[in-house]
Amino acid sequence: MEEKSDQELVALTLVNQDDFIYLVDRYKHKLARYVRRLTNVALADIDDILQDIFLKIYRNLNDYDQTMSFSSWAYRIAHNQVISNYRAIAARPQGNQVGLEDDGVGELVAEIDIEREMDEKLREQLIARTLARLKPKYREILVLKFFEEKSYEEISDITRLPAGTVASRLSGAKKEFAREFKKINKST
Amino acid sequence: MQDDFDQVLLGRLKKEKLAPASRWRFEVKNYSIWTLGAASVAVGSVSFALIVHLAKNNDWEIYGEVSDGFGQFLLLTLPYFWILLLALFMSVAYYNIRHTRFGYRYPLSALLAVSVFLSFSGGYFLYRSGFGRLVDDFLGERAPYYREIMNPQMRFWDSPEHGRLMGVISSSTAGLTFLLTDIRAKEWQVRCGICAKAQRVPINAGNPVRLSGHMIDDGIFSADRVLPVGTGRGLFRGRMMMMGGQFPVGDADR
Repeated sequence: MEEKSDQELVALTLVNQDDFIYLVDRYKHKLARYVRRLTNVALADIDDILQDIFLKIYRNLNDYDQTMSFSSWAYRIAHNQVISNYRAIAARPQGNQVGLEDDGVGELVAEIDIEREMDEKLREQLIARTLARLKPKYREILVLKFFEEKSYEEISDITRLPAGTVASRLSGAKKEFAREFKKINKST
Repeated sequence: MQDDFDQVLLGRLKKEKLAPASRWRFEVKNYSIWTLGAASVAVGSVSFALIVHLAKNNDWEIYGEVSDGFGQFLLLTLPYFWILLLALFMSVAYYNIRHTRFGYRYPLSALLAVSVFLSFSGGYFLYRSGFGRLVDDFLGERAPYYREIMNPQMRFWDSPEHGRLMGVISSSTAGLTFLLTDIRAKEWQVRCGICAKAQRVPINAGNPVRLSGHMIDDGIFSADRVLPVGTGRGLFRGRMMMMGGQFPVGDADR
């Protein structure tokens, strides 16, 4: 099944429910990371949110339009789930900061005017804290661009925004990030 | 994440007997959005046709004669109801196009331009084909609050104290005087001195007309100009029927 495309797996799942497991397996870690980066939710709660997302994906499989990548469609459902459950998610016990876990940080630093001569560990912590303090719309666009490494077109499909709005929102998000980062850095 | 996440999920699907929602449900939703969008464009087009119809019959060339200036004339005769309806349905059309499957990919300006273009071009086509007048006639005859809300020209010309009177000629008398029943069924004696030669409409009983001039006394009006009724013709048909008369013959039925 590994060599099958997402579209083929969708077709197979519509015939046989058990084949859904291959799609789940392909996307569960990516979506878990994405949700964690967006919500700042504790690791223990991720499974519940992820289950709801996959249930929605499964229930809406017939709505999937193959002219769009399955990945973007799945991310969109995750995005909608996070937005519609934002209050409930925000009320759950949280970790200290947005879960970055890996790369992305370097790319973000390269693109944004923030202090580069800094201990790597400290810088990562500051970035995570900064992201957590941003407005959700800014946090999401930075996460999608720098941590999920999505193209403008993919971000447009996920967030249902025109590409031009994605570009201007990203620009606003970078400025906001730089401002917040400096504030937090000063206070530490 | 739990190691058995996949199996737990699959177990839940089976236990709750979940299945993908059928394709037709999504198709119905998609077609509904398009249908609602098309209906909004259609209503917007009718509104625009009415706006053009009312604007074309607004006597721009004599605004100085019947009002205190262009600003006042414009404020009193702008078809606010249709403009608001047009704006509302263009917004609904925009909203629906935006919520089609890939509508989000297009910028606000492009979607608004499409919505405006469709409503304006559709409306102009309807106007050119006479549909604007047809709808205006129909509404004048049937719609409640037509005079108060839909056609400001009716209010504008129903103002004898400001030198504007509108109604149906109830009988022509000898010489330069005739009787007119106004929109509230009040009878007026109209003296038509200098207007007699310059008028654009024959003074025959049953003709709906508008008069510009001045009120001499209660029930007596001196007309400088007699104009045919361009909009709201249906309103006069209704009035004539209520008064037990006949449909007016003349401009209104052309």
